Amino acid sequence: MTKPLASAFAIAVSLFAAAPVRAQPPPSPVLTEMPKPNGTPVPRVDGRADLSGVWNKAIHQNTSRPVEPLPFTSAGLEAFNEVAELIDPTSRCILPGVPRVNNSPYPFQIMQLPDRVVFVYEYMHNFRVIYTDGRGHRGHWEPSLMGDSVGRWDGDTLVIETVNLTDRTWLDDHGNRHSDALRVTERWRRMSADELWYEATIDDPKFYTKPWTTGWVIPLAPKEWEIMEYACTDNNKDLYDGHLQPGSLDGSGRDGTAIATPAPPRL
Amino acid sequence: MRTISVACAAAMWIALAAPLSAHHSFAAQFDGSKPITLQGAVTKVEWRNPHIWVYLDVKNPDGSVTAWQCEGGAPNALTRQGWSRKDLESGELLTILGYLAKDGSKTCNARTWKVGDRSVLAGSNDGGPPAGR
Repeated sequence: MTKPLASAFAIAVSLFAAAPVRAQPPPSPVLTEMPKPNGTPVPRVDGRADLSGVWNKAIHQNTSRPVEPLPFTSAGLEAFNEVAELIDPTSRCILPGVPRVNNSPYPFQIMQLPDRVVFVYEYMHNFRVIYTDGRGHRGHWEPSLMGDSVGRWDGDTLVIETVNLTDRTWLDDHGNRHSDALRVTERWRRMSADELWYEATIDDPKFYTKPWTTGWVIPLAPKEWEIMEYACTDNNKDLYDGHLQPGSLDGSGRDGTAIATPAPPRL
Repeated sequence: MRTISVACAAAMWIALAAPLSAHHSFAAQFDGSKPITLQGAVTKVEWRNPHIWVYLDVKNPDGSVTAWQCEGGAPNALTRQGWSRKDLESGELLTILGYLAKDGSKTCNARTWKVGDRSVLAGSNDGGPPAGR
């Protein structure tokens, strides 16, 4: 080995030995039912479980994994295959939509009030104000990326119904799709002092012949964590310099031709 | 420098084996089969979302200097790990393990870097907290 080779190799070895600085457990898996809570006491406020806190969500790239094959309609299958030719909307800094806002990276803060629950998401500098005072959907509002959400309490579980979404957001990094007929029912439950169970039911009769449900556990963030600025367009060279490429972000590499009708297993 | 580094870093990269699944389109710009090790003086840092960019002057074996730019991790995740722009601008040499850009420009995607005795797994194609994910 020449001297430069040896020194470069030594650098590589020392880096390998030193990294990573802070090991992190892998994110909890995508599930269809809430797992067993760890038994730590759930904080309470106003006579019900308190969801408030900063929560450290992780990316869940394929939210349909435990329920595949999905019950595609022909339009739904066509949209799924079309992903091979499309650039993920979040790569263009478009708001992630529902439920994708909850399987995207970065922490978020929940503030639970008597008549509403406020979600402050670091990712895309985004927010949701979910009223729980019995009001209905807005009716005359134009469809939007994050939709029209109302909430209600089912015991200790916050149930959020979201409608009036566009078809311009995706469900996840895998390129699971939805139409503008999507109705999402989310169920939020604090399982323990430091665990939140999140569940989303995807009811989209244009793209799926029946609703399907996915969920995961979201851990409480370390006590000192605060929500920071995330400005997707601030210095997004990948976007500005034309480096985006079509296809799903999870690297599944499907090209559309591998998917057969009517409801194949995912790659 | 580049050829030598590529050759000897390759084995280490297999060991590091950071997954290349991307929250943005890594594959559009970078080549996961072309690892590189760079060491140089930091000339500029853009500690901005959604990913940091580091600019460094790398001294070649023949004495000439090449200006490189490398995309790093998510600034919020790095901040939560205790890093700041000042760490990279401290004047100490920065060592980066990364992947080369496909277009042949002096651009890399940093997977790991080291300043002094501190290092971090800093894959820029990872998005969130806390370990560059």
